[in-house]
Order: sequence, then C-alpha cells, then structure tokens
Amino acid sequence: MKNPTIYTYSVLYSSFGPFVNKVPYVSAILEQEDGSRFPSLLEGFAPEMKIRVGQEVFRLGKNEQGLERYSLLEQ
Amino acid sequence: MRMAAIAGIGETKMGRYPDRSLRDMILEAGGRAIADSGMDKKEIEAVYMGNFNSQRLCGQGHLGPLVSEVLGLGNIPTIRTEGACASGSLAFRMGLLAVMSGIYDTVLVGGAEKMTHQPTELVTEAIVSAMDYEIEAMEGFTFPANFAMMANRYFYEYRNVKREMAMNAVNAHYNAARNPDAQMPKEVTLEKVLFADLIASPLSLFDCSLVTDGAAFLVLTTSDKARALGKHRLVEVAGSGHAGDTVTLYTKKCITSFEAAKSAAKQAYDQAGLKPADIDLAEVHDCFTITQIINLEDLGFAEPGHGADLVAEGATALHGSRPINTSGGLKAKGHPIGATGISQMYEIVTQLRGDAGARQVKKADIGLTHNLGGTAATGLVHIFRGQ
Repeated sequence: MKNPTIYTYSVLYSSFGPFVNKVPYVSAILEQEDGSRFPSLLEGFAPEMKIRVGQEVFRLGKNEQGLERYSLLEQ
Repeated sequence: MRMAAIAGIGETKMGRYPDRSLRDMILEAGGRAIADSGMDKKEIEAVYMGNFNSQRLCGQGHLGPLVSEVLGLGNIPTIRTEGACASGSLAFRMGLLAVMSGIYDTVLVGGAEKMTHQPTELVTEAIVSAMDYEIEAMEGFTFPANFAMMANRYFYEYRNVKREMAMNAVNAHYNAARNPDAQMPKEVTLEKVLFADLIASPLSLFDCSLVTDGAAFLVLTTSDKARALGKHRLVEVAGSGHAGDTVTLYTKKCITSFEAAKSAAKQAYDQAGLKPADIDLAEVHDCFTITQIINLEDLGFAEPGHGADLVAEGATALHGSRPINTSGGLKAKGHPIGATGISQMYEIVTQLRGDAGARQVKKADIGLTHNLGGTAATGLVHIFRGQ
C-alpha cells in the first residue's frame, strides 16, 4: 500500500488545549491512493521546512489511542 | 405564502464588553429594534433567537424566554436556534417561515453572543465545538487551520491569492472606519496585513475575523403590516435559502467551494426571481479573507477561481460596482457568532433605507446576506428588496 499524500495542509502557530505546547505543528488532510481522505496531525515539522500539496508522508505506527500517525520525514 | 418585511432593526456597537451582560446587550439591541419598528411590543407574537455558545461561555442557556422576559414581551413562545456562526440567520429563517406561512404576523428575531470575557484558549476550544470534536479537533484542527487548508488547496487548484485576501481585509477596515457600530473602526495598510504574524499559514492575524461581544435584532412582519407603518422605504424579504453539507472538512467533495452556500444561494435567487447580476450589494461571511473570495464565486458574482479578480479590480470596494461587506464584515465590524447573521441583515436594511451615512452606497435597491456555520456545513442566503 502506497503512502498517502498531502491533499492540503496548514502550519499552526496558535492553538488550544493539549495542542498549545505543540505549536508550530502541521494539520493536514491526507489522500490515499484510492482518493479517500482523512485528517492528520503531521509529525516531523521544522520551521524552515517547505511543504507542498501532493507531497508523500510516511507512516509512524499507531499512538496510544490507536490512531495511525504520519510524519513529513522518512524514518 | 405571504410576503414578509423588516419593520425594525436594532443592534449594539460590536466590541469587547467584559462588564456588559447578555441581558444588557439584549435589552439594548432588542429595545432599539422594537422602537425602530414603531409597533407596540404587544404585537410581537414569538421570538426566534440565535446563539452559539452562551451555555459554555456565560453559563446561560434557554435564551428564548430570557429575551421575552428582558424585553417585557409577556409569556409568548420562544425558540433558540444553534447553527454555529449561522445561528442568527437560522433564527431569521425560522421566523420568516412562520410569518410567510401565516402562523404569526409579527415576530422578533435576534442573535447575541458574549465571548471576550473568557481567556482566548477557552474561546478557541468553545468555537472548535462547531467542527467534529472527536475526529478533527482531537487532531489539533482549529477553524483558522481548516480555512487555511482551504486556502492552500485553492492556491494549488487556481493561483495564489494572498494579495487579494489582504485587500479584503484592507477594504473591510476602510468600511468599518465609517461604521459607528464596528469593533475595529480603523484603516489598515496592505503591508500591515501581508506582514502580520501567522496564525495558521497562509492566514495571518489580519486574515482572521474578530472575537466579538454584541447583539442584533429585527422585527419581522407581513409586508402589508410593514407597509401600513408608513416608513420612507419598505424592505421586503425577496428570497431565502438554507442548505447543508458535511460537518468535517475532509469529507467534502470540494474544499475550494461550499456546496451549502451554492445551494442556499440558488434557492434564494429562484425564490426572488433574481440573478447574481441583480444584486447591488452583499454582506458575506468573511470569517477569513479566503472565505470572502470563495463566497464571491459561490454566490455567482465570479466564475470558480476568479473571485480574487473582482477584488483586484476594485469591484468589491465601498464604491465599486458591487460593494461587499460595507459594514466592515466579520473582519472589522465584528463576529458576535450567534448575532452575526442578524448583524449582516442590519447593515443591508440600513443601506436599502439609505441610512448608512459615510458608507452609503449609491445604488442600494437589492441586497444579499450570506452566512456560514462551522466549516461551511450550514449555509444561509437571504435577499432583500427595498421599495
């Protein structure tokens, strides 16, 4: 199964609750090969990094809540 | 179905009022609307009240009877509507259907919100409840992020319109500087908007609407009753549309256009027997500057991908060919969430009556309001005709 790609994204510099201490972070909608989409917080962001629509992202495995996590960086 | 008209309008100045209560703002705005109508308050048969989040932010629910009690309307039926940022227009739509169908002759329609007394983080968390909390908010999504993601996709599908987005903010502040009820009546430069701090890329501080306390009310009645009041200009409701879409951003077929807005607009245009070209001015839901560009396309004022062209040409400026958000919009007049839809109508009625003073547009016969809820999951469009 191919890695998903970025359908769209934003780098957040302001947030709420448990996410306040994560800024800046990347929210994205990812697209699977079959065209289905899902929301994700992308790991691996650094301030100088360029992000683009269509960029491939990489699976990190599941977090403690059982949600699949993705990174901008290949591990 | 009968025709309905706006008999009276009233609103508070929009702003930050930590020391004012919801009751106080309802009393001022509601009282002004009733006084403006010239009708006896005994003629008001029901209240439709828009509010988004007063239970969380003010500890106050059940706003319908609060309004009837505060305004001394007696024990009449009341309803509170909640549709996130479209709560006010939903209240109007419900009241309109009641008057047009003959259930009531005259109703009071309003909206109120009080937010600024709470810390920004709590307000952000409360607003986030208008998206899918489990799937989106728990992934760290916020409303600036959702609309920023629309902007980045829009840039990808069409072109980068960051400059035109900034021009929307400049126009909004210019108009707000001529509106005594605006929260931010101060002009800003294009450079100030373009180089402001980022909130959610590509949206900067000046691409985002305001956090606002405020209330706005209308007295809605039959056209026959409104005509009998003998006002210098009758403002009739010519068309009304209400449509929906998915609550989450990722499930929408398209995120560079809003299905709910397009469908609501078609309903309103069809009911009014009008086309986009017939609209003299509009108040559109500019929660973020990219939204205003998409709105221009969804309302049929521009082809998909060309909303920014209208802005660049100056068509949407105060004295352009189709002025948009003469009030200052959500961006600079303010965004008192549950009151926003009614506040937009307040501006259109003021313009159609010719009472807008320094921001009065030359031709104001037909005006439109466009109000979105959440991530464009709820859409309402209303068209008003002055005669």
